[in-house]
Amino acid sequence: MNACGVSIVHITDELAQQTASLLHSFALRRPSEGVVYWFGIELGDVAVVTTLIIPDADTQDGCVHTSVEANAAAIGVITGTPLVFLGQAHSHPGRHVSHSSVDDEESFARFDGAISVVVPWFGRYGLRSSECGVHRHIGGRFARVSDTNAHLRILPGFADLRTASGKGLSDVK
Amino acid sequence: MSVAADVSLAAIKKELAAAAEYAAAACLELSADSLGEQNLRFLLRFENQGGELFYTEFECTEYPLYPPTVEFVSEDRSEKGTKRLYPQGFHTTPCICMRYNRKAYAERGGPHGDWRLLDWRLPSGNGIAIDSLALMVSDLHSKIRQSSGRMS
Repeated sequence: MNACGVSIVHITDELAQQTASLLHSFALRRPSEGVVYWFGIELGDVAVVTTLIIPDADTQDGCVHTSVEANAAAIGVITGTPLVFLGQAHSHPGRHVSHSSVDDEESFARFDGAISVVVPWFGRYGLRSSECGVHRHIGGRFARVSDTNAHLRILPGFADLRTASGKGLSDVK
Repeated sequence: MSVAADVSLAAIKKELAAAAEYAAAACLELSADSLGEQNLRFLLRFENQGGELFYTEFECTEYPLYPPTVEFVSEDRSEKGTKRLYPQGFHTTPCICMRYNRKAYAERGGPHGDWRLLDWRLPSGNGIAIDSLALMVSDLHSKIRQSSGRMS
């Protein structure tokens, strides 16, 4: 656990960037926020995001609203698996990444330990933890954390360590 | 290598439908009435957070091989690229410093010697590739909405 008594959430860079890309997909036809739920494994003081689920959110007015049915359907995807709901990422239009009162009161991920990451610029420039607003639900309410690294860590998701001569079909005889 | 004007016009018209849809949803004013083979340009009107109006011209010669030249202009287009036409927050060259703007490239006098025009569709950093007119409009809209005041 970190100093706040909640697990440190880990996500691979590939899933982090996929999260940003999915958030941006909400803004392709009109300026609209988006939301992606993060599910994964929680073991003691470490949680690892394994699965991204986009709820059937209503974004007609440019903000995210999710119905009880939409949230139930999202949970239904992981029912019977070892995965748990860890939190969510949602996007804001500009560089402002603090929770609004609506974010505080209407986010589905409102349980102690939940993480809520606000990604700037509709996710267009990717998910960089230093530019995101990281919030945790602790003691019954959301608070933005100042030490992002104590709550969210981005891990390598892929590495190709072959030397140049070992890469590519052109080298295959 | 060059792109014939009719090819550019066809590409622009094809993409402009999505850009127009976005513009309408974002309450932006799109003016493409004079678009033609001899005039591969269209204009967009944006509003910043303070309600000030800004006009951008997309000049699309040789599009889509090369990105458009995107420039802030006066409403009647008689003045172009001066600091007072730019919102706060943009590169003070002044320039819309993005891969989708031909003006941003060093080979066209811009600040970016590390980009090649032919690679304009590549994403920058971890971001998505801004490789269509609709995405360019969306990106500019976000930036201008976030800004307040003028560069000078």
